[in-house]
Amino acid sequence: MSDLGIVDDQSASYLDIDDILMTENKISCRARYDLVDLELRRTAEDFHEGKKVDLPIWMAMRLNEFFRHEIPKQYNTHFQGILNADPEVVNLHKEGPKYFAMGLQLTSENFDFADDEDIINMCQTLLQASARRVSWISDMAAADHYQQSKVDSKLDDMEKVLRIVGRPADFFDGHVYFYIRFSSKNRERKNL
Amino acid sequence: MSAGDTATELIKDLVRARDTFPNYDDVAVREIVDESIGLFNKNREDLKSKEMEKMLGNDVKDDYLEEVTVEERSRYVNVVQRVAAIERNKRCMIAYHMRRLAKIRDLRWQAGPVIPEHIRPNLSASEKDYSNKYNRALAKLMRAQGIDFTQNSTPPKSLFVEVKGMADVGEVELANGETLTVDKFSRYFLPRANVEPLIRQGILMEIERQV
Repeated sequence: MSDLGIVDDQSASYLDIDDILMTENKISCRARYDLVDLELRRTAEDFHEGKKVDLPIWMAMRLNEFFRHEIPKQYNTHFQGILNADPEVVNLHKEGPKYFAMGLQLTSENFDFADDEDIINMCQTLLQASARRVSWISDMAAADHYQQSKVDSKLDDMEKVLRIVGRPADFFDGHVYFYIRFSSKNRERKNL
Repeated sequence: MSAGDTATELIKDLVRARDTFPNYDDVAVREIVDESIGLFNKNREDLKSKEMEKMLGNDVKDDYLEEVTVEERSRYVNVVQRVAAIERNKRCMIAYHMRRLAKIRDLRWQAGPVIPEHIRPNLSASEKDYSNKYNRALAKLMRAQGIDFTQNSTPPKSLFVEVKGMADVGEVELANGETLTVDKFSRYFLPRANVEPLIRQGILMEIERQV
């Protein structure tokens, strides 16, 4: 998510390389019906109802009608608990280098998770976690340089870009974008 | 390797080589195009089949997926999946080419109108053509304006600028032909025009004048 303009403008993200890479991440999907001879992977496969398969997000979104999706484990309730408790220590780089971007993508209507409540809570969690981490990062950026490599390894890609840019004003801008997007999604899901 | 993998590799290569200019991957591009054509042909065949006629008709009900046979349903899923793959390939291809063009434009602003020798073989013929046309358009604009704005990244505030050396590089040649000995402690007071390219490269650093 190098350019946060893609948050609001759907067409802006088409050429965005980071978005392309993020949608390559896999999501676990379960078939809704019995299907035969599907060519999702290399060979023709048979799917009985409920069979699990890992598909990249771009494919999973298209096959929404035929597959039920599962929330990846780094966004589920358990992990949300960890993030709510202490967001600054979590290594978001390990949990998928594009943690926030993918979290945002999961809120799209093209996904059909078993439990929508989870997604609403996830919006909330990610919003708060991003707020706390952004202020933590900007403190670090202003402080001494020695801690930097230790901090860097814990940041996901979006945060890394924010840190390189480094000025407190830019942190604030980025965070406002996140806030707007997350809270609107939050409200949307609650009304559905 | 399923559909869309070659395209992803292409994009990943681009990301891996963020600072350098990688070679134009002709082979991968052709592979992706062939793969897309193959998928499209398969779709065309499938769409002609009797099963699909039933599903794509105008009187399709909401729960049509329940009422069809397994084969019909599966064929439909395959068709949808192939379309998704074709669009994915298209997206990756466009992003790949656009990104390279953006890099070519950046190169012009950083390194001047001549493409460095070590990068030249990495460009495809069309990219070289693009570079030439871009240079010509830029030159035309600058001639019309009367100044070369690739020289200064921001409008200069003064004619002369004080600079200090960033590292021990030894003898450095300025734009006007003079040589300068640059080491970590040297400071110079020079005309901006001569020194700007060195500042951009990072060899010298401009010292802000405290007024």
